[in-house]
Amino acid sequence: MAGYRAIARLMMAAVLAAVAGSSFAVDAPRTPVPKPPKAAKGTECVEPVADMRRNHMIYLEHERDETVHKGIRGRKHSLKGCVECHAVPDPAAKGAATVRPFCAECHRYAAVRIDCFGCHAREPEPRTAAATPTPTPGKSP
Amino acid sequence: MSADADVDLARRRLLQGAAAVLALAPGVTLLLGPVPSEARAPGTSVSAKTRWGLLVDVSRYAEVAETVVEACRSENGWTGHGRPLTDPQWVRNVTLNDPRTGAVQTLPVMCQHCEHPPCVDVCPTGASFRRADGVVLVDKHICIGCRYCMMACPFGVRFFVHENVTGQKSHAPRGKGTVESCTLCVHRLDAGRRPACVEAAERKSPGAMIFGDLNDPNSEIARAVGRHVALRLRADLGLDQGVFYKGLNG
Repeated sequence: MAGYRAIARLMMAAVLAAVAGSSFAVDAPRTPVPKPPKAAKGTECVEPVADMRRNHMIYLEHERDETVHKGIRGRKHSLKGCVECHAVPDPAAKGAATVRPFCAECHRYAAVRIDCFGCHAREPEPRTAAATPTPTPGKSP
Repeated sequence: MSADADVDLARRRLLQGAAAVLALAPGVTLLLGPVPSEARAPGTSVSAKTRWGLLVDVSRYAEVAETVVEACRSENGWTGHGRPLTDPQWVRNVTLNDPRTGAVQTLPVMCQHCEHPPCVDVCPTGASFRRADGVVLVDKHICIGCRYCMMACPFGVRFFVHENVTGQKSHAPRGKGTVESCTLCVHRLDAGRRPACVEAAERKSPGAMIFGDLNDPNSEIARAVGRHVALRLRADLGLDQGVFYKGLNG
């Protein structure tokens, strides 16, 4: 009986050690995982995070063509929308808020090199009255 | 040569008419709804019911010439590098001097938004295109920077971006390796506003530049174009531009 208890105690210790070991493994994994910075407080992504991680490029490309060629604007997905929420202080831009740290975190990890921001603005538009025009339904635009 | 061109244009118009009939046949309901040509509902695409046009009053343009270029520059964020041969000029002021009479005229030259744009004809990738409402644009996602359009354009109003660009406006993306030109401020048109140059000119000298829908017979521009002698540059080319000049002599 006493021998059984000793064995049970040993097993418990082994289980505890294994649990402790695994939690240690979570803190410092052997496999590096990208950790993109959080979006602006109080904002929610247009799609679930897992969906965005997998499909953001498809959403962006589809709606970009409709915007450029057909003039359809104000859709759910837009690169401008990404920049609005995901701009964070960027050391490469002397601390100015840009979307680069957010995008680059995963793109660097996945060895994706894409040139959206060769043309598009990395920085969010300054919030002024002129930057958010209200459509004026009238005779002459 | 010109007879050939006429045949081509006539053939093209015939084909366009046929396409329009085909497109309309299944969607008759489209014709029934109220379709104001200017204020487009969000989420709908541009339609050929609208044809944006611009009329410049050359006799009064000199007053607003600098304002117009500056408005375009600040709206669309294009800047030069001090290299006049290659710097972009989405709109530039051209001064004409008549040495015999001493008459001087200033006019803006920007993308003329042709109905039959040569730049679109020559583009090998389809990047250069004409939107249904008459705005000629470059889809920089597909532009490979070959610059054929720059050679084809009779007005020399397209520019190649030679250097890295930073600080773009979020509504006017522009970058190295692509061709760019006046967009007629599509981002403003889509929001129901007028191009930046027209608004700036309006503030300084009302009526020096008139913008609107050429297809709407009641619009200010359609009436003005019909009332005055409004020329188009190189009208002999038959490109049917959207930009008109009133009071241009010579």
